[in-house]
Amino acid sequence: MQVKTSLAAYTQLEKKSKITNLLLRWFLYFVLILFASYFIFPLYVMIVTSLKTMEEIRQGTLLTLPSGLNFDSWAVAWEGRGYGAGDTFLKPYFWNSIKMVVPAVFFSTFIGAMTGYVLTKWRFKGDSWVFLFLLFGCFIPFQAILLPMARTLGVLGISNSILGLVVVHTVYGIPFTTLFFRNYYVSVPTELVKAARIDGAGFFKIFFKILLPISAPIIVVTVIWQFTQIWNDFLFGSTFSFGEAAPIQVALNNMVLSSTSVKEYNVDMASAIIAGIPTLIVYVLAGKYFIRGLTSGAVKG
Amino acid sequence: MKTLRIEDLSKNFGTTEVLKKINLEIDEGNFLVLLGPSGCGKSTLLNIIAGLETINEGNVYIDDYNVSKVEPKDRNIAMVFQSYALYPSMNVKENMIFGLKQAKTSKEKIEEQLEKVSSFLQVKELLNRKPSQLSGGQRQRVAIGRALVREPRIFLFDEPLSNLDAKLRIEMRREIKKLHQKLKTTVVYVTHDQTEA
Repeated sequence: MQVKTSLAAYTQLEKKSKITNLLLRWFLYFVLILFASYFIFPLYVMIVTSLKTMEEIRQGTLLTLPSGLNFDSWAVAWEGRGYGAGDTFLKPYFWNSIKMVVPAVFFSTFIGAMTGYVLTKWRFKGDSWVFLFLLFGCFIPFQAILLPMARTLGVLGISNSILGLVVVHTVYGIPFTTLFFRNYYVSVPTELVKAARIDGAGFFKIFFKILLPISAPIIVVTVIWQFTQIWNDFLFGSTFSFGEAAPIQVALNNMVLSSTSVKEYNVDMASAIIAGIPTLIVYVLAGKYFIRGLTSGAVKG
Repeated sequence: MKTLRIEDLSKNFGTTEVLKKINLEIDEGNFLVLLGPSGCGKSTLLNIIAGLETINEGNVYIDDYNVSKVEPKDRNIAMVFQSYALYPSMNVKENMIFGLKQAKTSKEKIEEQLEKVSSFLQVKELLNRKPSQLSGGQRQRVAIGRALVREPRIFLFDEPLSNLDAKLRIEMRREIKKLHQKLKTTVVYVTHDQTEA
């Protein structure tokens, strides 16, 4: 008798907890979907608006779907309307940005890897101070160094050039990249370096043959980070370059803000999306490794 | 002639004195065990013999030749580490011949050495595997193999068994002993385990 009642009680309890679980689950999904849509809403508006004609934009609301897939405004944003003066379009500035971001990401990542390697595997007197100062570099507000940097670029004769921007971004990327690589290499056993030294490998050989081949996760993290930072940078771009040499974010700003005629929202939206696409591509291609790289600690041999 | 001789060796890190006036001699083919608690400087001594740490005072002689300022790779020694320190990106074969390759040994000689050592240690079927695909005991064997191919004058073991479980440890201990009896190479062995000593 005893057993039976308790069994019934158990089924009762089980049923109850099942219902509670289900309810909580639904609540969870509700909240998640709510937040996700809130997050995705601006993107939706951007895409929809970029596909409309000006006529449609004036008549409809933000949310109405366009009448068809009309890529005219994208073409205007990318290549302009074809008449001369005052026509700003993204194509040349897009390539400016590419020419700036590729070398800047490459050099800052490479130098960061090197410094990280030295700071962990070739300890020297005062190395923790060097690291401290590098860390300090992560916290410098970039507005504070604009004037001295402008002067420096002027003295070097590379102001208002893509090369100048590459130099600036490389220099200011190094604290971050060093931090990433140092923290990664700290978890690599130093015995690896000792073994390699006994095997007769030198400073560079150890770096290229032993450490770099196992650095893929952290390289991906660094590249994504640097790419996003440099591509999206507006401050340095607008301060140290103008006209022909400007990167895409500056051009985007000029395009959207300084149009003298009617505001063309569809073209503005298309331009903004174009300016954002490269970062998106980098994330999609390398995102899989991003989390893995951020969370991966020990490299067990 | 002593294979290894250490004379009045002192070493300090900053103000802490780690080793003070160490004198030590080992004859050809002997097996020296350094036993002591963690942090008493055994590993430091080993690193100094290997040339990985600098010396503050005193000298290290290998075969009566003062190697105090000689690079690790030129000291004719080989070292086996606690964490094995196998190069993660290379397979077993590349791991074992890395040192020979750096020393610009001829291809035939490398193949010959690899063949000899890998059959001796029974790691032949593992040659194309990455270290991550090996068990602890296998890694240990490969690490020893990497030391063996160099045909060193002195073997340095830095707590090589402390990462293994009890059973494997006994097994490997026996194997290292056998190895020593067979090769008759001088060995310096660091441990904090009394039974091991």
